[in-house]
Amino acid sequence: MGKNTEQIEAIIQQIEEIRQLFKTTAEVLPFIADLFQFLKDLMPIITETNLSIVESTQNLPTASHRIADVNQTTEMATQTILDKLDAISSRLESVRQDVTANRQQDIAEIQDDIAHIMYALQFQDITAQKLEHANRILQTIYEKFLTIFQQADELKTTSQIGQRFIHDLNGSTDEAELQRRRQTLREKMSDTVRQQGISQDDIDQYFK
Amino acid sequence: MSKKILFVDDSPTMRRIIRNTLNRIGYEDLIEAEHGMDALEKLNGQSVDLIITDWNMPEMSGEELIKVLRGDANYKDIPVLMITTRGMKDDVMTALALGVNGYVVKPFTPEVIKKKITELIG
Repeated sequence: MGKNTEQIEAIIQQIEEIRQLFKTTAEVLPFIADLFQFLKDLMPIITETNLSIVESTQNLPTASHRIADVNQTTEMATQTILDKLDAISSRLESVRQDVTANRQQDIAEIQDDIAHIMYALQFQDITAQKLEHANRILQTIYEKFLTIFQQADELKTTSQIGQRFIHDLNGSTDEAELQRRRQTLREKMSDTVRQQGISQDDIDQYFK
Repeated sequence: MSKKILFVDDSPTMRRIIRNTLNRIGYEDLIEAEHGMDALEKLNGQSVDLIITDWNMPEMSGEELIKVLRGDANYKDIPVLMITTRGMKDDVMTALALGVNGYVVKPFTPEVIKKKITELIG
C-alpha cells in the first residue's frame, strides 16, 4: 500500500515538473518570438554590411595597385626633374667661364638654388615609404577578410543554423535591390582618376 | 679627397641625391648599391672608408647589412652612417646597438651630411 502511494506521489511529481516546463515554455515563447522578430528586422542591415564588406574587400587589391602606381609615377617624374636639374647645372658650368666676374656670384647662387630643389626631391622617397607602409596594411586587411570569408563559408556548410542564416541573409533582400545596391557601391568606389587601361593611340583611333 | 664611400639605398632618387651631395662636398670615389645584398656583392672583400646606408630596403635591409658587416672581420671597423626615414627614438637606439656610428633622418641637408662625414672620416 505504502509502495503504491510512493509511486503515485512520484507520478504526481513528474506531472508537476512537466506542467512547470510548459509554464516556463509559455513564458519564454513570447521572448523567443520577439528575439526572432528582432533578428528578422536586423537582417537587412546585416545584408547591407555584408555586401559593403565584400565589395570593399574586392577593391582592396585595386587600391593597393593604385598606390604602387603612384609611387612609380612620382619616381619617374622625380627622375625627370633631376635630369633637367643636372642639365641646367652642366650648362651653367659651361657658361661660367664666359661671364664677367661680377656675374659669377649669380651663377653660384643659381647652382645653390638647383641644389636646394634637388634636396627637396627627397620628399619622393619619404612619401613612397609611407605609401608602401599603407599598402602593407591594406594587404594585411585583405588577407584577414579572405580568412573571415573562408570561415563563414565553412560555417554555412557545416551547421544547419549557419545554412539557414546565410540563406536568410541572401534572401532577405530581393535580387534587383541587391543589384542596385551593388551598382551604387561600385560607383562610389570607382576610380575616376585617369587610368592606363587604354593608350592615347587607342583613344585617337576612336576619333578618326 | 681620396676617401672611398659606399652608399646603399633602394630609391634611385635618393641614390642620385646622395651621389650629388657627396660630389658637392668633395667626394668622388663612390660605390652605390641598391640594397644590402648588392652592397656585400660590390664590397667583395675590398675596404671602403665609409658606408652610408638606408634602413628599409628589399632583399636585405640596412639593419641586416650592418649585422653582417659587424660580424665580418674585413668590415667590422668601417664607420657606418645611416640615413633613413625612421625617426623614432627606438629606431635610433636599435641602430646604436647594432654598431651604427652616425644617424641622419631624411630629409637631410648637405650641411648635416658634411658634418657627419667629417666627424666619421675627417
